[in-house]
Amino acid sequence: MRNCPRPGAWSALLVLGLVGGLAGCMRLQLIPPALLGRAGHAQAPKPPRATATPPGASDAGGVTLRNLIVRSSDAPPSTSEEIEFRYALSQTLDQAFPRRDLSRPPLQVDIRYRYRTEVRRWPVLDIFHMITLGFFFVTPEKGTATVNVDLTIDAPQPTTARAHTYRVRLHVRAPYKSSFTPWYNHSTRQKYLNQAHLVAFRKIVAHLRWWLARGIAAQPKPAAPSPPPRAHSKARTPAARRAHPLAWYDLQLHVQGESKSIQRKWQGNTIVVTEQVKVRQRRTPFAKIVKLLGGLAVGYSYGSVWARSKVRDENGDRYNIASGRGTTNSVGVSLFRAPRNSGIYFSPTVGFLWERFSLGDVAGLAEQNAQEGATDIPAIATDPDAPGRPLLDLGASWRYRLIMTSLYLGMRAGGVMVWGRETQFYLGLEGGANLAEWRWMDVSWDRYRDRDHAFAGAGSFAGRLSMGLTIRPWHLTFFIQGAYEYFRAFAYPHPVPFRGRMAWDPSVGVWQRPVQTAEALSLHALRFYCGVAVVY
Amino acid sequence: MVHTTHSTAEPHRRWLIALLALGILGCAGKGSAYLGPLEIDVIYHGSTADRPIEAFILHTEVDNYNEANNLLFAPLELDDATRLTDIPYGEWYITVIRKQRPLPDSPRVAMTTADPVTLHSGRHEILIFDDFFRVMDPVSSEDATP
Repeated sequence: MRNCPRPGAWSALLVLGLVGGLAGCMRLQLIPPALLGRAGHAQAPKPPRATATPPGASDAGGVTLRNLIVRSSDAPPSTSEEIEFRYALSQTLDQAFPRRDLSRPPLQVDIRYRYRTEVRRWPVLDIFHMITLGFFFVTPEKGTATVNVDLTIDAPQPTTARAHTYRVRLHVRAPYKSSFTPWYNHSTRQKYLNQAHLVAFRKIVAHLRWWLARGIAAQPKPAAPSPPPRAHSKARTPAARRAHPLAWYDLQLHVQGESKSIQRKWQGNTIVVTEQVKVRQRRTPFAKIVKLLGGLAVGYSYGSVWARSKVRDENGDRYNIASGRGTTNSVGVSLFRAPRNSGIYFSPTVGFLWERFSLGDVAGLAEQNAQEGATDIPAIATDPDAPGRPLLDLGASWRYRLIMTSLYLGMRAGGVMVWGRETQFYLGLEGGANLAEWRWMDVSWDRYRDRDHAFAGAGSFAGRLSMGLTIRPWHLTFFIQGAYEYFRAFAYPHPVPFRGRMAWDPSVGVWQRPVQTAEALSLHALRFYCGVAVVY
Repeated sequence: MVHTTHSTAEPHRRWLIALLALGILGCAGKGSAYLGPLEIDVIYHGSTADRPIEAFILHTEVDNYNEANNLLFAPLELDDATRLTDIPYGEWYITVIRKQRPLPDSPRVAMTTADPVTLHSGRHEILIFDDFFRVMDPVSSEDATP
């Protein structure tokens, strides 16, 4: 015992582990990219759904994309990715600048689009993560997603008919830090890259809108252009707000592009605008909290538990001496995270079990054979200490009320299949062991009460089957889950006596039910959970 | 004492009287032969320790055990036995009191024989089990006179 850590040290370790596990649960989505098939895939923003309100008559001819070059230093975009980008940009321009006057030629723009990600990691922590099979989950990542856009309009401005070139050099950066992203998870960097795409698209639309609305005729000589309107400017009209062109599911409207610097100058017949933009997250306090928690679910749960205690008989064979069943149903709020991508995952988890039920042995008395030279007289049982001395049943089951509590930290491995992008249906299955537990048990019967708590390791297992429907634009998930938990040996505070199997006592020639004490019980819990969650 | 008269003229009557006397003696020996002073050996054959017999009470009605005295000087542990003497003859209900379960703060239970037990001369062995009593037939006590 001298080498064992003190209970205080165990408590500190467990608390540290639980806090870390909770944070990991909220933040992690550990999906190996090789199994996803989408890792590193450049996702172009989805075309907008809303029809934009035209800002003025000057853009009645619409805007079309003439030339688009997409480049990435991460990995050369495939042909399909280039097509996807072209489609997304074309649709974005069509929605922002609908062509209502077919007699006028559309404005044609050329765009050179480049993006990349820079990632910095700590390989030592990745090694720890690998050695511990994911249990060491502190795997920070720091990086920047960058999008560079060169936009060129080589056409007369509608309001002035003056031939000149408008050129925008846009530099969008989305720096990020993540504490729980293992090396094989590209979802974090992909998320910030998508945000940079979003802001870049917004800025493209904003610069075009500014250029179309600018009255060159009112300014006979070249002058510094006024700053383009910001996407999140308070001066935006409600119509413009409704017409936001990039409200697609994967990136929320709270992603803002903060213009860090903007330079404008004339170079011959060309207006060159260079803008540095940094991606910022703007959320309401509620959204911040929900985002921190990973999502909040309100639901109803119904569950059953089956418990039993085993002892050894005189032959050394184990048999059930007591059993019990209980049911629980509740309505509550819980943390929730809806999966985004298909794949397998390993993640730490923090769970809580609280069950109250009763457990007892088999009722009944032994029937005796008549003995020569003896008379058996049955007994009438009464309570000598209760007023009126009520009758008692000597054959009644010995039952106990139990309250079992377990706060555990474990590891889960599972797989999930996700279908759809904007509206997603998912089906997942996961299982794992609870590696560290704080257990608390309360045993009571009449005036007797015994309670204790203890730490346990690798003594319980869990699995879960879940399916749900996530509607990303609404930030809602409707789900049902079936969860199973097995606690192998949940020790009583002190051994609990039960009446055992019938046994023949040859010394006195009677059938007896010897009292035996059980040290622990095992428990199976099955619960169903359905609800609705707000997810971000 | 049986008083008899002799007569040669009535041999059949003498045989009849002799047979009657034998029958009366036989009946008397069956139920009330004197086996010595009344003694009770109480043996506790429960199925678990930690709930000894705290009280052994003889009483006359099925529900008045609280009006009689406990005959034990000390709790009777599992597989222990004790001998009680100076017990008046008669029909007695027997009540023992112990814990319901071998647990601290366990409520007690009083087990009373469903029927009265006839206790006369001789040594009676009473076995107490978890949920019934066994009363052995009386045997001659050590102090019984031949």
